[in-house]
Amino acid sequence: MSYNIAMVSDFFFPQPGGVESHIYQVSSKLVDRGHKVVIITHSYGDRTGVRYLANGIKVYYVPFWVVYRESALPTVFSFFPILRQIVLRERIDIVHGHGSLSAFCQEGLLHAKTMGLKTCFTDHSLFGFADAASILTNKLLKFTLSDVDHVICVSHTCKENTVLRAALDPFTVSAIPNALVSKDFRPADSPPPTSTITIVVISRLFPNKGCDLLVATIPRICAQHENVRFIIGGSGPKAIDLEQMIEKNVLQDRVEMLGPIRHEDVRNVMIRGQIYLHASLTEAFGTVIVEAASCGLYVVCTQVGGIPEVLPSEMTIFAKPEEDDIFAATSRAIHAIKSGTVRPEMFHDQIRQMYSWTDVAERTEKVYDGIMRLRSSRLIDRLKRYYGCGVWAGKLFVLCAVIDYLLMMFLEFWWPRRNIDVARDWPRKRVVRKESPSQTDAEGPEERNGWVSDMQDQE
Amino acid sequence: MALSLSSTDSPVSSGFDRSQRLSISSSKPPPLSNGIKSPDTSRNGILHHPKGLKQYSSTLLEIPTAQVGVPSVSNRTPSRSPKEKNEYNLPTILTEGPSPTSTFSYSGRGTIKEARSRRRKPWRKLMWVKQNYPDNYTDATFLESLQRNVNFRAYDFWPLVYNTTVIIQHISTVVIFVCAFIAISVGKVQPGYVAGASTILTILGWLIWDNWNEEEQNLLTKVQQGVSSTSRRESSGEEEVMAPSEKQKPVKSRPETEGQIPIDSRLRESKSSVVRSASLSPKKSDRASNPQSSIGSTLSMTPSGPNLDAIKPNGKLGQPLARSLTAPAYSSSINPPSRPPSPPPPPSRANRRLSTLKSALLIYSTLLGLSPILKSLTRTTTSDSIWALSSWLFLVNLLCFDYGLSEGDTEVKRGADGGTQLPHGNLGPPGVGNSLRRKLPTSLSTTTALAASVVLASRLTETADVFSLLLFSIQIFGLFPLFRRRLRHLSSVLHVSLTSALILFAGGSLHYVVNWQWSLMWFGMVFGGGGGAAWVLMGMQRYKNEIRGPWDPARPVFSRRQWAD
Amino acid sequence: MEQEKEATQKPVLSGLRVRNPTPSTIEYTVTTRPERWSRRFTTALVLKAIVVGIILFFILLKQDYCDNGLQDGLRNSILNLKPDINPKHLDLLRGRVHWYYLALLGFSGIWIASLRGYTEESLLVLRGLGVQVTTSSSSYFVKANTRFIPTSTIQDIFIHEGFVGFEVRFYMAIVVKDESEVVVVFPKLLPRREILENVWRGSRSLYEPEAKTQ
Repeated sequence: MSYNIAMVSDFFFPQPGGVESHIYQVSSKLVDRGHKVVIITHSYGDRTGVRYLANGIKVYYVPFWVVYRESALPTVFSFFPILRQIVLRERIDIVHGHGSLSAFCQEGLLHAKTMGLKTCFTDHSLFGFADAASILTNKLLKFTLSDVDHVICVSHTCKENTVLRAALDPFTVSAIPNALVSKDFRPADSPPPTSTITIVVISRLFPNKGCDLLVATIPRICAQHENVRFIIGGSGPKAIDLEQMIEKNVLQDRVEMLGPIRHEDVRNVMIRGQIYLHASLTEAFGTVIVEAASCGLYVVCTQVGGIPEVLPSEMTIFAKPEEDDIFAATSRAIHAIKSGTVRPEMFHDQIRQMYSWTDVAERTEKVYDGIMRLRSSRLIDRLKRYYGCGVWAGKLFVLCAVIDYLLMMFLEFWWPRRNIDVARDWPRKRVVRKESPSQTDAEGPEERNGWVSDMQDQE
Repeated sequence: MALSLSSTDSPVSSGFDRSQRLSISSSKPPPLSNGIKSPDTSRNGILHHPKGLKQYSSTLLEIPTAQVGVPSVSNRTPSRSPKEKNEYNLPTILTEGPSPTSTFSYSGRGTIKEARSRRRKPWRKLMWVKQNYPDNYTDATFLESLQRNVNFRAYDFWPLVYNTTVIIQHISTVVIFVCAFIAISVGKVQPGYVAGASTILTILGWLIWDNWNEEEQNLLTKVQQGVSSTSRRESSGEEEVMAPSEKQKPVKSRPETEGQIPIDSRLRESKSSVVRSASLSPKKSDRASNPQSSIGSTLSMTPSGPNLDAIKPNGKLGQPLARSLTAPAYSSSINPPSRPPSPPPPPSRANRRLSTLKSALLIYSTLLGLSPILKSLTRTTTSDSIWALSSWLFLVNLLCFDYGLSEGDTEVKRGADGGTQLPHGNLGPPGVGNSLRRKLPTSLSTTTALAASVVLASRLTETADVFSLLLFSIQIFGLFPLFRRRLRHLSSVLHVSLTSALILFAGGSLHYVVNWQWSLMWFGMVFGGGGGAAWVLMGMQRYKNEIRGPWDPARPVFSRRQWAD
Repeated sequence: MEQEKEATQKPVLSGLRVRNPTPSTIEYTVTTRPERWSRRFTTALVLKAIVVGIILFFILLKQDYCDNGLQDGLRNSILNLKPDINPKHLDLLRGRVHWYYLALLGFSGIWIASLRGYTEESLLVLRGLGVQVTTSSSSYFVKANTRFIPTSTIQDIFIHEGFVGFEVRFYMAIVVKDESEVVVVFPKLLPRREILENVWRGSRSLYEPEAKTQ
């Protein structure tokens, strides 16, 4: 059984980022497994129209007006005609939205339900409940997710968060991690000498990435440890603070600011160091620390969000998001590296067995199997669900859903189904699904070294 | 509705689970305020803790369903927890027919039933382990780290009402001022009466203020002598005593500058002065009786009314007013004691009084000179614009006034009332930015009030009218707030009585200047606003629902050293 | 080639006509022109006639040689029919009108009469020489928009999809050497995929020399 899947999100290439690469990697692995994947996103600059990526993934760059940080203007209904066209011409079964901040995704899920498709949603980020923006997003999320068939979260913490935010039944939420292409994050052939310890920091330099902690901690570490160097990659509004810190403490020869780093260069930067320092204040999954560990770096990270779930404790030193504790943890890491009590070079193989996109795609496929088995709900049931979303919001949501339904009737009349060409499919791969893959012997390896090593070739 | 299903299916086991989790959660150290557990427990939290818990849940619970952690969370919330927690994760998704779980079976990982029958390792909240559980498995530890209403603080009615008195006081002064303006412009009151009465009250207030300064200085000196034996020279005279104390703790330079200006305490000072001396003396004596223990309280009290001044002796005459206007708040609540002492020796009391008198005279004569100019300032403007403008200015004044209810100030107040708590003892970095933040609105409110009074005064026709109104405005908007604030910190009884006197006087002047309906409206507004607002706030607290958890952005904690430099 | 000759003059698919004037040329025409004397054709004709007739009548009404009696007669008969109407509103019917307006009316009548009412787009493939793209104009008076693209400048012909308004449509385009924009074949009608594929196969076999030999 293979499905036609539409990934809908505001975030996609050419913009770099975690959600973007997640969508691409999962799609490509799903294509490998015999499905057809179409990605729908908004246009980036002059990148408008329909494009193909490697592996026959078709990308629709829908021309829309971008409002803020590559998020399209939330025009509740204007996306519907185009989405309907795409869905019909690609014969989509499942609409899979990504990213709760993406208006495209939320609209897409709503319209897909109106058209009677199966929907799935992947949440990549954590949100609080306090500030106004979160409250608004949460309300919207409640609206769209109250009717979504299944939700995927990248970590258990993220799952808790999403269940709370959108008032979901926890059973409709799966936790499926991100992954990494581990062959892109091999450790250095010859590990850097431990005479000078190099600490690598790669992150977008935003306040929520803990840059203030870095600013406070780096001078202390430099003062305490003689032969420690820092490499900081990434850009953002906090870069100026870091530069001021360097100037003030005269650390120009010990702290190197690299500026923005392309994703394919991350490995080359990482293998220059022995320790990766991650001071983020909130993180749903923290792919970058997995990448760092895969590159053979010992990871010092703040214990926030989903980070504690991501790596085993022998690869990491957790710290509280406090200046003193980060300092202490980094010092411990430096000592551990110097004394050779940890062997970060060995991390790569372990990581390779923990995370792979093939595994993610497999698990996502199981979610698809599950939701394809669900009956699609009638309009009145959907309306009931929306109505329960809140005293005022519920009525508003019901109104939206009804208008959406009427809009669909109008579209059926104006652009009838029979006048819409069905696109030709990219030649599908042979379906390589193995039913019940090695689940029985999964216990064995787990007992042996702590994780299941049922991953086949990684390529 | 997997939730209700599971609980009805196995009430016993869920009850057991509840008690089990209770004991665990109670033995656990309380989570930090930012929702992050302390590191050792969290290390445990990854490995041991869920494991131990899990054994119960997987062996005792028949169904590995969502015991969404209802009991543990509702237990952790404070007593007034408004809602049951499961209202927040109510599973609202109901596909018609059976619940989604029943239709969901994961082919690769075995159906839920199959998984249950097999004996499994306990589930762990980790992503890097491939576990023999479906991806949508929801453990009993689900949402365990959820915290609700962490900083919940139940309000009581009367303290809330008491806190509104500060606002009411300020509104009363504005009303009184507007009444005075109307009375002067209509001609109901001779302008000289207004200015004269307010000046007399101001002088009285200043005498009281001066008296307070003396008392506190004495008290401080005694504490200093008692606690620190390092005072460099002993002195017999009262004036000399100030010197060592100043050398050692030049805690507050600014509030003292306020002391040299006559403070307008227009209402009821004769009465209050008597009461004050009575009420202050016992306080002073009991503080002095155990000076060692009250060092903290004096530290915190000094900002509220210290008499040590470094600036005053060399300060020019115009300066004190400006300073007191721009920074009347207790702006920086802690000055590091390590700061070097300010060199100039403290002036004698007589000196201070003299300079105060001089600055007062200067203000008087300046106003006198300015009044004829102001008289004709807005002649070409229509009255409507003036009324609108002054209304807006007064509104800004009311909104921006520093009512002194911010954290730092309440701490100071508690300390001054005799508590042994250091201000900012448990707060984060001491409020350098805090004080900066607070200075601006205060000066803004004073400025707007003076601007409004200038604008109003420019409608008057006689020079004497303008002069007396301006004088009145400076006293009531510039000086009286300082007096009020200090009085509030000294004695709540006096504060309440001053408030009621102000309310009565404002009502009375409304009645006299306008009519009794307005006066009635005023009283209604005061009582309805004060009591009603407190009541509404308490009612709204039922709906307070603050959710915290590990997903919140952590608040970074910096060591103090960072802020000291 | 033989098969295509068979298909000559017959719509292979609805909306597509293929013509084979000479063995080395083939013309694909996509049109919305209705069949002669079909219902749509007749309706359009009748509508056009009615509009032009009304305009003619109005011109005649206002002309010099038409005496006032006609105008007054019309006015009176309307008043008889609807007595409650304000006679002032009917003053429009009286008197002469400036020739300028009449000319404008006349021209618009001519324009309406000349409207084609349908769009016809064609692709003429001349084997070894090139292709000619034609798009009919909206009026009979305006020449069709024609462009000839020699084989030497054609880099590629492809079918792709794009967003048109609220739709996603297939289109066929020719990549011309040294031009930044592709030339879209059938740019107005954007026919359906089957038509495009048919045309694409034919055009490719014609303009590629190797294909010819096969």
